[in-house]
Amino acid sequence: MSKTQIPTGGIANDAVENTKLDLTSNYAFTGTITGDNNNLVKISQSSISAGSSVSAIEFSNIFSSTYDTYFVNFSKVRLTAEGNLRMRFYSDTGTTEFTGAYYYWASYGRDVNSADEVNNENGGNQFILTGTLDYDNASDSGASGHLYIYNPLANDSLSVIANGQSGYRNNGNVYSANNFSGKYSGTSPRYGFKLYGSSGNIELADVTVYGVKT
Amino acid sequence: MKAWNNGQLRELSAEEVAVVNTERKAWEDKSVERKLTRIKNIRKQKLEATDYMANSDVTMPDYIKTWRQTLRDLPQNNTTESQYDTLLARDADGNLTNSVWTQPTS
Repeated sequence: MSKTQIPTGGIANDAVENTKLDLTSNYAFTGTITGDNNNLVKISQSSISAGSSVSAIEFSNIFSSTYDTYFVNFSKVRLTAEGNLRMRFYSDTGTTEFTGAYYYWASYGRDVNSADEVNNENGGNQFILTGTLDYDNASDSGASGHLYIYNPLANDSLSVIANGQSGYRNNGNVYSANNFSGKYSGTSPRYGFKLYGSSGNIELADVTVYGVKT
Repeated sequence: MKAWNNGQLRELSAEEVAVVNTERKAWEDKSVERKLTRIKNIRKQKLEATDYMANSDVTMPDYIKTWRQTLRDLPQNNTTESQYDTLLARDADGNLTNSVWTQPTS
């Protein structure tokens, strides 16, 4: 007869302490974790190592009905030429881009020398997430920041929003902080996105996409 | 030309390469324009820093008036990219090095 309960006093304290249980060993867990205790779920990660060079980092077919909100963490994004970091949505599960004037956005940044970095488009064909990045200083770690993307699969022109913040050394060679918010006005679902530079390739980056359970 | 797609290198099609090159050229073609914008932004900050001297209860020194006029005249007196680069030059710490940006004290 199998036992499903340990009676009160039926197990000595030292049976679960390290005098009996080897805490340096690995114990296999074969059960299933249930419940909803993991609200930030890693979906994809792309790392571009120093010395590599790609025109874009693409996350195609990454949005699904599982999540309404996505968190994109990017760090050390460095370009090979003077440019800013941009983003564009995909209109299918491949890499067909939405390039029409669907991107309504504004950003405000300020560098440590008190210079403003203000930018916006009232119907551009991409989001511009940062000011102009420094590129010719090998010791620069590039742009780091994050982005929230809301409701990318929505079939309306109102609910797709991207908000983000970033920090980087700008083309004035000083540190700058930037806030961005954009709305995508197209009425077709967006299945993925790409990050890319206005000029040059991406030679260093680490980008992770998480689904956010709400 | 390649892209990093979902963790894999992907060769761009000829059409995609053409689009990328067109967009990059559009950005690079506006390089001079962006430099002038940066100069105007810096000028704006410098002028704003001494705007209070124009208040009725403050007397703006002549050397400040002269310097502010010099700043206002920068775009008409500097029209080439090399002149823009000279105005935008910075040291290793990111400080502007052209003396035109330094507020005179006398």
